[in-house]
Order: sequence, then C-alpha cells, then structure tokens
Amino acid sequence: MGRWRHPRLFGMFLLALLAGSAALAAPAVRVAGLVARDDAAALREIGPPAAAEMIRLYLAGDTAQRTRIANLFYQLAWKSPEAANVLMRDVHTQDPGLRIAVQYALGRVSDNPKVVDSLLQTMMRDPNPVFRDKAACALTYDQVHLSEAEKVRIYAGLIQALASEEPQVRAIAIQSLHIYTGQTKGFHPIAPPEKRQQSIAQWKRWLAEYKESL
Amino acid sequence: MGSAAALLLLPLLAALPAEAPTSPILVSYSFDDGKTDTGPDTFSVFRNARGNVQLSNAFRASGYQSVEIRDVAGDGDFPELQGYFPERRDGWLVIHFSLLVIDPKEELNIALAGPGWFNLNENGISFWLSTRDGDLLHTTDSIPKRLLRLKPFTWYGIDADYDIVRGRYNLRIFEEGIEKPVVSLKDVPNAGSHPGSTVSMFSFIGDKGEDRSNVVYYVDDVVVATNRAIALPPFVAPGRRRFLADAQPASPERPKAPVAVRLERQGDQAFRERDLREARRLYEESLKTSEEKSALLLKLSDVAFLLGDLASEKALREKIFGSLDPR
Repeated sequence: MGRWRHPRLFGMFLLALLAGSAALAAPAVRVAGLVARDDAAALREIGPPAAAEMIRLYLAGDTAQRTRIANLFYQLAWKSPEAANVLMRDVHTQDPGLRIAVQYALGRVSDNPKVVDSLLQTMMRDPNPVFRDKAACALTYDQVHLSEAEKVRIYAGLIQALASEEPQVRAIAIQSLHIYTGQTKGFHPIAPPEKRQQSIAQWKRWLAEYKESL
Repeated sequence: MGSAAALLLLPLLAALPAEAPTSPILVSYSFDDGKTDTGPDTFSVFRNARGNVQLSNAFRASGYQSVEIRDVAGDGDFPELQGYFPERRDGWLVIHFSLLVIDPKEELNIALAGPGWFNLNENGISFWLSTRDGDLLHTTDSIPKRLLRLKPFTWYGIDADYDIVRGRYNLRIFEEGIEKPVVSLKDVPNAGSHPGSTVSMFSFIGDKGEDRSNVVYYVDDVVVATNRAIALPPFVAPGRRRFLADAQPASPERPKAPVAVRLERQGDQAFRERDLREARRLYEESLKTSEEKSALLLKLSDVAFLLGDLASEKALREKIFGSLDPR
C-alpha cells in the first residue's frame, strides 16, 4: 500500500538521504569502498550506474560480501534485471543470512514473475519454516516494482497457499493477504477444514473480481 | 523541510468543527474566506521537499480560490493536505468536494480514514479515490476499480453518501458541462469491506510515498457532513466554468497604472461584454509588457475556450502548467 504518511515516519526518508554526501570519486574504486562500508546513502547518490560494479563484486565475493551487497540492493531498490539474475543464483542457498537477504532484495530489484514464483515456492514448500516465513515477508513488503495487474500472481499464490496441509503456511499466507487487503474473509489457519474451504471460496471470488477490474 | 514548519503555512479555510454540535456539518472548506487556522481540529499542510500545497486562483469550482496540490517525483517526500473531524462510529457521512487534475496520468490519492490510519484495515481507509494511467479509480472490497477516464483541466464534483455501520456508500460524480452524473454507484462496500469502520480524517496527496508522481491538482468546496439535507455547495454550473476575468479582474484603475494593467482591465471589460476577439486583442497587447503573464495566459485560454478553439486553450494552459502530451 505504500507509505501513506504517519507521524512516526515524518522525515525519516529525508534523514536517510541526507546521511551520506561525499563527493564522487572514480566509480569502481568508490563503489567498492562504499560497499565495504555498507554506505547505501552514498551509493544512492551515485545512482543505478553503481549497480554494475556491485554485481561484479557480488559475483567475486564470499558469502559475507554477497550478503552485504544483497542488503544494499534491498535498500537501494533500483530495478535491475541483471542484479535479479545474480541474486537468483543464491535464492536456494542454505546459508541463512545470505538466503534471507536475497529473498528480501529480489522484489526490490525486479518485477520478473520468476521472482514471485520462486518466493511462492519457498513460502509453500521449503522444509525450513524460517525461510518460508521470510519468503512470505518478501512477497508482502518488497515487491515494489509490481503493477496491480502483476500482483495477481501473488494473490493467486497466497490464496492457493491457504489450502496448504501445513498450518504455518496457511498462517503466513493469510497474514500476507491481510496486509495487502486489510481482510481475512473469515479465514483462520486452524479452523476446521470445511470452514476454511468456505473462506477460500470467498477469496477465489474476490480474486476473480480483482482480475475483472484490471 | 520539516513538518513543523509546514504546519505554520497556509492561508486556507473555513472549518466548522465540534463546537457546533447541532450542525450536521463536520467540515466545510471553501478556501475563499482567508481563515488560516491549522491544527488538530482542522487540518495540517505538509509542503515537504519540492512539493507544495497552496491556495490558488488559477482554477476554482466556486468562489475565487481553490487549493493546489503539487507533487514532485524523486524529491524524497510528498505534499499533503490532511484534515480532521470528530470521530464518527455510526450514522451517515456526506462527503463532497470538487477536483480538477492537470495531467490525469500522474498519480494522486484521496482518502477518508479513521484512527487505524491510511491502510485497508478496520478503522483505516473507508473511502479511497486514486488515479492510474489517466483513469479515476475507487477502491472497494480491497479492489481498485475504474470509475471514469479523467479529462485534464476539467472540474469533477464528487458526492459520496457513506453508511458507516454497514460500511457501504453511494457515489455520484459530476463532470463540468454534463448535467447528469457520469458515475452513479449504489451500495458498494467501503475500501477494505469493513462494516462499522470509524472515520475521522481525510487526506489529499500525490503518490503514497513511492516518490514517482508529478501530479498537479486542485481541490475546492470540501464538505463532510452527517446529513444530506444540508445545502451542499453548488457544483460548477453544468456547462460553464468560472473565468479568471470574473474571479480575478485586473487591479482597479489608478492614474499611474502601467499600460499592461490598463490593457488587461480593458480586456476584462471586453470579456465581460463577451466581445471575445477584442478581449483577446487587449490581453495579447498587455502580455507584451506585463510582468504578471500567468493570469493573462489563463484569461487568453478562457477566451480561446469560449471561442471553441480548444487547441489554443490547451497550448495557452501548457505555457503555465507544462505539456500533457506523452513524454
């Protein structure tokens, strides 16, 4: 839903912008230094041209470096298919820190439906409940480049996940739907199956109406 | 720019808040009477970054002023006119305002919300209008639905009757120049489909924080009331816009007035007599030496409109407001 103003949020974005303001230096050397310092504000000043060097550093880096760069891509939210491609290489890594950083960053650099599909698969099928939960978080909060039409893919996946055999998957799916729409349509993850089915039917009708409105 | 500083700005409105308990009017902003009170019972103005909220006499649905809301993409924040009224948990709300958009392709958002703030949860947004790709949308049952294709530089009158307990509303939208409503919906679910969702504030913004909108739009005659029986401000007489020569005539005659002002005043007189070609000649002559070109360009655009020369009208307005053509 975006960041409609709330008193607690006043000025935070501007403060973040003002935090880094060093003069520009030679891009490659400067980008490497800023990456090493986790300086997202200064990277933002350079702008999307810094992404190419960040991708090179990511490919050459160890797990810690990749995690740091994934987190920077998350903060910068530059749409970059190239960044998405390299991040996708680690979307199934078993390193928890890197995995979660990649899951969070993907939606903020890409509107590729493969990213949404990958996160939905992780949310529904990954054996690790932490990765499932963080995938749901990424689907909910970080798909910043998707249009209303492209969000259909997320909604359809989340509604499908309401029918999961795994209660935690049902719980994170309805939580995500609630954050997107403000509604649960009566769905509770541990309600009796027939009751859940009634809610799922309502969600399917809602999705059909959503698609019609596009 | 800090929000505290922003609160000091604005010469706006006439608000009738809680001190008149018998009045069905919760809010009435005409933007014409020069009252300047911002605060918790009336409204806040946020002019952060390069965006702006300010009184304007460039366009108005009634009186001689409206409020201009101008967002700037990539400036790190968004402008906002945010108004408050006593929290309503039941009964009906009547919501009325007039809206004119310069470039409908730019995003704007207008919402009526409660203490749950601007989201789709219960007690959050109840009534939400937005634009997307040139269309005006309302969000109902958490679904953004198209209402109409917005025309630039055209006043729309928005009328909603909201049943708070049932969480449903009727919506009518009138377009300048058309007598019958161009949108008429009955009994639609509120934004998040929450019966009983309370309301206490409204907001006019550009984008929702994504920092991608360059919208410029105008709002006039905002009324929030508890009873449809109140006399709502008349929407712009169908088929007739208010003209700048009527609302903002050249300054009164003075012996040493500059030639440009004298020519503009003569042009206003010709305009009032509907001698449009003479008015155009005088305005164009005035424009050559005037230091206040904006008003003259708008008056010339009014002349072009009345002469049926819509291409010239558009070109003249674009000299002030920029081009509407695809970028």
